[in-house]
Amino acid sequence: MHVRRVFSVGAFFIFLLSISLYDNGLHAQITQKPASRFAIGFNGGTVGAGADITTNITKKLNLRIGYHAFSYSDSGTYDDDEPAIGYSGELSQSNISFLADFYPMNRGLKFTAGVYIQNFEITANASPSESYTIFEGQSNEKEFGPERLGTIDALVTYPNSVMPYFGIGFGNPVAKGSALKLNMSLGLMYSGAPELTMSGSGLIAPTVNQAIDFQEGLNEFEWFPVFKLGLSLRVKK
Amino acid sequence: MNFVKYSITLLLLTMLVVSCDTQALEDAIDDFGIIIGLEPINTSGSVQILDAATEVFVQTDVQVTYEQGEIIDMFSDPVQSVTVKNGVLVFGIPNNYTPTESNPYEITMTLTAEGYLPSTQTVALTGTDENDFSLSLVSITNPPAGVEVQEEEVGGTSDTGETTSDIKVDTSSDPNEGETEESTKLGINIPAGSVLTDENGNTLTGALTASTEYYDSSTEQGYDAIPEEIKKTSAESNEAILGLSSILITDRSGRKAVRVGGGATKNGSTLAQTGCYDVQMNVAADVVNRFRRSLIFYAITSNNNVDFSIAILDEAVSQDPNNPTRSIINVEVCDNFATTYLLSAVNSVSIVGTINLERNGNSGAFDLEAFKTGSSVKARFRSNQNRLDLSGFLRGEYNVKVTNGIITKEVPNNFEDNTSLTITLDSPPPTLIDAQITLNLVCSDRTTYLRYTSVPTTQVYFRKIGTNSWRRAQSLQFNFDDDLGALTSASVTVTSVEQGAEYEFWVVSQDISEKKIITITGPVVEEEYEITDGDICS
Repeated sequence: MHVRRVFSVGAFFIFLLSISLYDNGLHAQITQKPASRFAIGFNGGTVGAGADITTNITKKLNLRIGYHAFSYSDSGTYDDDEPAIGYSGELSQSNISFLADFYPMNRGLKFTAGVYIQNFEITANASPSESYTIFEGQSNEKEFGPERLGTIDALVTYPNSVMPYFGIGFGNPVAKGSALKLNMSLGLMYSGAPELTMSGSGLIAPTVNQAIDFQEGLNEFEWFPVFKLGLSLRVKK
Repeated sequence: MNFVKYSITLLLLTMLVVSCDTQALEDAIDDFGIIIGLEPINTSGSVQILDAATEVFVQTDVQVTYEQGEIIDMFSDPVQSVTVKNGVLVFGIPNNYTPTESNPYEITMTLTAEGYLPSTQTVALTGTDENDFSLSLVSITNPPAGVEVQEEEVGGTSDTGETTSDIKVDTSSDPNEGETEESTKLGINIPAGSVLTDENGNTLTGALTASTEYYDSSTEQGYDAIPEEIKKTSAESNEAILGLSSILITDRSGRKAVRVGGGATKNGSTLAQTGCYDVQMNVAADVVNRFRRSLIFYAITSNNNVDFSIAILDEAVSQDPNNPTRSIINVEVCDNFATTYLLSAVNSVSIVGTINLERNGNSGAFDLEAFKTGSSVKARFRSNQNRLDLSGFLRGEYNVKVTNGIITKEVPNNFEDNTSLTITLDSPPPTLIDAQITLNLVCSDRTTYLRYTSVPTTQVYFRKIGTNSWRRAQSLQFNFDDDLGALTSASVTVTSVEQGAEYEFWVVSQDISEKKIITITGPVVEEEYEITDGDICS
């Protein structure tokens, strides 16, 4: 998506929020006191699993703060070729969100804008798990041990932890009606392209020079997709 | 309504995912490969191992054992020995050594191959590049001119070990191919009744076999084939080698004679504890007269101890009754049975000579060899070098030859009279040019690549189609493509090549041996070079 288009969309949301605030400002004293309702939501998605606390500001505007986290690790051995390569990887993600939800129709469809403060990191390591012999069976046969072959480490992080967000969704946790509600959010964080750092040791160390090719590919991913689905419980009427 | 909500959600999610351009990332993943980074080796060299007679590469495996010098392979690992299969030995030395003309780096190696005499030779590196050498091995069945290798039964012993007749061994046949007027022949005569024993005191019994080697030091090939240790010792002593032979006597059990004991026929009825035998040398009378008071004879035992040395006095010299141009020198050797016999002429001085090279338009390295009977001085003019100051010249006239395999110039010079010699090369034929050859390296499997940052110790040789001599290309450069992560080409410079002619190029490394025919179309030539060895492509 083009940056110009992004900021145009963001400006539109801010415009809507401004209208909402003005409009609701005229009716605030008649219809609803700010922070008169609260809800707790538990959800999960591309930002991890966690919880939100939502409160109303006006009839059309809520504020939401949340915390989510996720981690995953994997390791194994790739032995389809020689030498077998032992690998391990870990993804760790945690974020705090400060969001404003605007309900143009008081409930249901919402437009969301705000900011995530996210720590996101992927670490990976690959190294031969066995010796490698070249020219096996010949007089110039030579064996290289795993230490001599070396190891490759990779790290993917985002350059900025503060990521503006906007999106759409369904569900107003603090609206009248059932206290238990289904909520869904879909949007984008502007994360900037992830940065890849590779380092190596041993004979295979120059392999990390290919990091620039991977970085070129990662430069396409400046936006972090957000999808959350969960349930909320209104705790104060 | 809920269905609509969720449908819109799914649609938008799909749009989000597919809108990202993943092509660059996919390409990076597809092109990813392991790249091997070998440590650069600053100084490398190569040795062509040739048959001394035919001057082509030795066809059998040659086992090379390094006796002196630290040698590393292309992976910078120390090497003690290698097996050379294609006739070319490549090597490197650790980067903490930087050879120069004034501080050369010497490498001594022993070469053994089936059907060839073992040989220990030394090469001296005088720079980080242009360290290519030729070493020759003597074939037992086809030695070069000036060398004879023989094996024959020469007699036998009684049951108690006394030789039943005189044991006569001549190390050179007559006529000898390549013989010159200054050749020295040698023979021994062990009198009947002698007892030969080995190093453990065991007596040789039964049929006796003599294995002999003869080196005619008056010929370049004969002199070059002389074991290096003898040449080196003689050069250090300012001695010219006039004749060299080796004799090994064995019985059928494999016992090697190292001592000669006396027999009844030597001392009448008493069996003596020691024995003697005669050594006879046939030397050009002119040589004897020239070196009359400086001739020394050495008898060297099997453990390389100089057991016996004697200055040749006038009494030991007589005229050959069959040939007035030849003289006979008789020496008696006792106790130990020598395996090497050396006749040398001592020079009182070692002369330093300066050779200046007028290239006259010729470029590249040129080899120099100055030779006279019993003495040789070799060196190299590097590409950027036009003067050499060399020591080790003896009295007498040398034939000084400078060559790059294509252009050759020979001049005589007596360095005692003329310590500074200028050699002017003939201008190169206009058809000869220098060219830069770029070889674009591709693997047979085009989906694989040469994933090395470089291939240290690699050498490139070339020769004109229809010729035998290989020359080494200069200034080898490897080009590594960072985007591809692979070696994509190598370039070399070749000198004095004929435009329009076909040349065979040979890329040799520790583990690579690839050949290709290329036509020299002009000063810049680019060709695809397919690597068929799948082990190095990935």
